[in-house]
Amino acid sequence: MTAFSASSGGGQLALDLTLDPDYRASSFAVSEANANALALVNRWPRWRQGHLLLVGPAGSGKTHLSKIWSERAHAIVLERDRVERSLSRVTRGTSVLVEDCDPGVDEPGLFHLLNRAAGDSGVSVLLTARSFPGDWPVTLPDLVSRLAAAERAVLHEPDDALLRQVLEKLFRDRRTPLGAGVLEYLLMRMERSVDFARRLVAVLDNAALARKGPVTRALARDVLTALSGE
Amino acid sequence: MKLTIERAVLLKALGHVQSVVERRNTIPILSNVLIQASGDHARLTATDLDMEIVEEAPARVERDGQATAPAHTLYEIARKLPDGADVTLELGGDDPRVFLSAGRSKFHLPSLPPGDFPVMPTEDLAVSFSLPAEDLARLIDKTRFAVSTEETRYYLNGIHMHPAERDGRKVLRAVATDGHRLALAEADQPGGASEMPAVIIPRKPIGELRRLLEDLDDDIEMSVSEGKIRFRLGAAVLTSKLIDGTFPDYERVIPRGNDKIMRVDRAPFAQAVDRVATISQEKSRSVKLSLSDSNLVLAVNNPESGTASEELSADYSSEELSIGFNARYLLDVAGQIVGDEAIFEFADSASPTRVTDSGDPNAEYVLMPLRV
Repeated sequence: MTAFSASSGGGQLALDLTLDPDYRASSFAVSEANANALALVNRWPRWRQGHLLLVGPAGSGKTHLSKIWSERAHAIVLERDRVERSLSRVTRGTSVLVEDCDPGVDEPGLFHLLNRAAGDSGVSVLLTARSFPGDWPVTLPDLVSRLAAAERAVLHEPDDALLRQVLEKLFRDRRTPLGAGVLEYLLMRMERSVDFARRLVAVLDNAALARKGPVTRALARDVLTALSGE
Repeated sequence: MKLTIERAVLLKALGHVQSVVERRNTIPILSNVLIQASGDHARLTATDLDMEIVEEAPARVERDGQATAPAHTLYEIARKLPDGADVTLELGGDDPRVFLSAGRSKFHLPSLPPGDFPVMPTEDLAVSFSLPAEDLARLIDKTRFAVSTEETRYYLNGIHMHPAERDGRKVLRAVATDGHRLALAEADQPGGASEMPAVIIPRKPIGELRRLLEDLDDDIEMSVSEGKIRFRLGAAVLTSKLIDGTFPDYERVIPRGNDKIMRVDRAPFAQAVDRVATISQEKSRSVKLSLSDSNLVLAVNNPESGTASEELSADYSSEELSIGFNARYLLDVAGQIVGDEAIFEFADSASPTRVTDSGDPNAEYVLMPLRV
């Protein structure tokens, strides 16, 4: 958590009382930044070669989208660095999710997994990553070519409409009480990234809890200043 | 309706129900208590629409029926009547008022139609079990001080209660937090409680419940659904709506690996905190704890009202540490500790501190520090 000095709150620090994020399909905010990716994920099980690569920056909705898919496809989750040893769990018709593939992926394991998906085993695989495979430190030539040919769903940094929905969801997830006009105030001034929105909401929520009140415009201004000075 | 009831019995029953009634009500009938007479008892009901207390008391009923009368006024009258008096309550004939008589005292009190009195809809409270009154009182006492009073975070305005397991032992757990501190207490899980949904019981019924528990040694019966909770305590039944919200994942904020351990005698510690806090700032009530080898110094530095310090011996052998807390929070926790020692587990001056009780393994507390 970013250390925001809640000095006007008398210096009291607050517990980090987060709630479980809401990953329901109905709460996934859609805009031009992610509509194509959503459509591609929803085309399952008609993915080319039985797999799909979901790429987007931190906080762009990879986890949310993959949770929605996992629920629908009853997917199992394999750890990226131990795919091979879990392959016995991947039987005919299994759906598999492997998250955050860019660093340290188990290359032989992933290669075998993608081969199964490409065959007629009915196996589906959703991979998520922050960057495109060309930037992953993968050395196994067959895997490099498989990944290069993989169908891709791309999540972009949010446009204004999406940022508003994201901000609303983040505050809703934490049940943060908001003063009048705070959302608009933040939207006009904040950095345009979901990653920043997450940090911003976490710090604002914590500071409001420390002060035992809602997020006011004054608090929003102080926190924005503190975060942009980092 | 006409009934006669002993003054002490009436006073006790009214005492149990009348505090539910708010002093100011926009709906007039909510200021009244519903009196229903039948068989050999009177049944008194008070409600604020979110909670209701019903109490039955023995009475000599001459004429079955029901009436409503102003709750606080009736209570004050009963309080001022002489001990041992018989009180007669009557409604009937052309007079729309309730007539109360006891010895030479006579009152005519305004009444409202009993048919207008709001009755809490009965619903199936699927999970039901009984537990010792003492256990429920303990769960409340150990946690209620940490319940938030900030209305905007409504989901913190109550005690979160749910079945849980600790080290293989099934428990009924109560948790409260206002974001600055957290209190958790456990009792043996009563048979049948494992199916209980996780609930948040609002502050007001908690207060009423605690008062009703004062006079009780027996087991109480607890019935729960997703939206309501009911406690049957002797002759009284308290039913309340629950807070419709999700309690945060509190277990994440209880630090389990803090390695700087201080054991301190509870009573001298609490007294010293109270003394030095005399000059702390009204708002933050900041007290700094400075720990070194077997030594604890409590200090307050207030630019307006001076400085204070007090030294205590403490069992501490980790590296030196300075950490600030709100004195009120330290005293609240110290007030709950029943053993001789309070055990503080620190990480650093900006992280949550866990406090446990040498005399009660079934309670723990978390305090967030103040920057000092």
